[in-house]
Amino acid sequence: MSQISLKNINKIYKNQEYSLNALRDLNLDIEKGEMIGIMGKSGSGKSTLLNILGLIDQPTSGEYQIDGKIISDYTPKEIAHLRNKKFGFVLQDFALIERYTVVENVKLPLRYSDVPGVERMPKVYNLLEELGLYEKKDMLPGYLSGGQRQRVAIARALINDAEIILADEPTGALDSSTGKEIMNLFLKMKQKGKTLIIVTHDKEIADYCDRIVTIHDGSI
Amino acid sequence: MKIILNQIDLMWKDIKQTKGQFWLGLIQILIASIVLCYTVQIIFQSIDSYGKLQNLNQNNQIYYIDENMESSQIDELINAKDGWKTVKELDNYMNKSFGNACIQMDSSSNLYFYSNNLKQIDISEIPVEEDDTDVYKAKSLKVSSNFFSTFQIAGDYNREEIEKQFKGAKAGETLPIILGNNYKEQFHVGDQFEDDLKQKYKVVGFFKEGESYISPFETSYSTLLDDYMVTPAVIKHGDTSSLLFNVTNRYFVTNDKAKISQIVKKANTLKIRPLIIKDLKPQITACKDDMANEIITMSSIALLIFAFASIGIINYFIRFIAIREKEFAIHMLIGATKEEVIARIRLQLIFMIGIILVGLLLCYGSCKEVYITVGIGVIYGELVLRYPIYIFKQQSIVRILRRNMR
Repeated sequence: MSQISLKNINKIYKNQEYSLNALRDLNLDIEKGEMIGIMGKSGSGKSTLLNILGLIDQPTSGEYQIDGKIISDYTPKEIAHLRNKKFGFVLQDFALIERYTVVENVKLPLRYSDVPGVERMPKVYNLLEELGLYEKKDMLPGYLSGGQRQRVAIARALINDAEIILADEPTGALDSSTGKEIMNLFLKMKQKGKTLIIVTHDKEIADYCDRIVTIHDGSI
Repeated sequence: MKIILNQIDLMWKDIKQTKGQFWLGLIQILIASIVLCYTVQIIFQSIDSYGKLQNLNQNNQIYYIDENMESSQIDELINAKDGWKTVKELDNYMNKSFGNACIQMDSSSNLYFYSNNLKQIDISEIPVEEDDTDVYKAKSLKVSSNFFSTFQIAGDYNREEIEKQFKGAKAGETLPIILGNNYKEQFHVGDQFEDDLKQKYKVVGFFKEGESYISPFETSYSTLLDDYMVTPAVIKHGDTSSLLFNVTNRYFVTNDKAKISQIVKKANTLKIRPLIIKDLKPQITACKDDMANEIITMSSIALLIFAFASIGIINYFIRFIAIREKEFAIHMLIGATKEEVIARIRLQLIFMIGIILVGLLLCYGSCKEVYITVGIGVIYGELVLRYPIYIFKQQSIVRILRRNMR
């Protein structure tokens, strides 16, 4: 059984003037521990697919299963909880809260988890140490380099032991050497058994992946 | 519980990082609330007074007997050998004809006493004025026993018992005295003291805070009793001057104008003339209209003050939600529900309302006006938040993130 299974997924954006089929009858299975690259032209539906995978958007029709459970059976509260437990997000613009320190940003998912309060800070500090960010723990994101900020985002994605990491153009705002550093981190995560789904238009980044899925006009 | 504590922690972080904007808005709304609460008190007092006036005037006319005697006539009557007897005869006639419908209410004189007449009382804590060295005066009202039921005066006493005590009071003996609420901290029921003329008084009760009586001749129509000492209208035997003043300053609550005219006829036969009957209905109607206008005006002013002062707070919340939009989206991305994010915003409002409640309780104590003011604040706050929250609820995480990433 695949960890993630998408069957006949459609996503239609509608307003009074027009209707757009962002995804059309999309089928995709992803195994646990795979590192998948999703490629396609701008507007092909890559980010839409990632949003649906990450439970931050719902498909118009079709079936989405995680570990054999159908997502449409979940309430919004359960979906939020699942997002907290199962998924980690790494976005192009890092999506850090600028007024929170590094520690506060990394600790954020733990606020919505069942991890007891006393265990939170040791977990955060260990992870920051692992990612080489411990000395920066009390700094605001504004004082960090792009690579450091992305590492903070990765730390936040990993803090809850998420099984699935979703990355949307994770190296898009970084120079090539920093980008390589980030991809090496992703490889380390894969070695630890994480499933990684990376949206990219960069072939060099896609080369790190086990499999490349190309989307064209909403279909694979 | 964990979720609530989490949201409280986030809310407190939000407040700390507003760099004083939250506190500035809170101070503005707190001041407005204090003013609003004061206005609500006035409104309630006016409604109470209006009700009393309505009750008084409902089925009856109110007449006032006044005299238009020359000074020489008054002197002649006072100094006459049978002056007391003559005036007393008129007094008896009035009481016999009208009984409970005849009300005495004299606020023309104050009560004077020496400071050492009030042992163990902190003079600075009671509403009295220093009249001369070591002589203090307090506002006083001399009333007949039916004053309390006629004006529906409430206090911590048994009304029937008080009326009995006032009715049976005699000059020269210890008189019962009821004190306004502002004397309550210094005096107790049973305390005794005497005035500068060595008339003894015994405290038998206190009026309810904010209690008032109606007098169309007073400038504000409704007179608060908080600072008053109320005693029975008793006259010393032989004090013709006081008795004359007493009988020629009375109110009659009756529909029987013919009977009122009989008083004038009786007075004429006793050569106490001319007495004038004043029909107070036009004044009372004017009173009621003025009170109604005052209620409307004060209500409008109160709401305007509140609305104007809360512009700062409205601005704060709208800006807060707009500025934090991306942050809320990130919270939802990593596991918060929309309801949890909205709870965080509402918690700030609850915190503000809590501070306002504490502030009002410190200013005014626990009273219905405080809770009404806070209630108005809750409703208003909820209305203020309704639109921004509605707009926020319509957004999806995707849309917010996309908008903030451009």
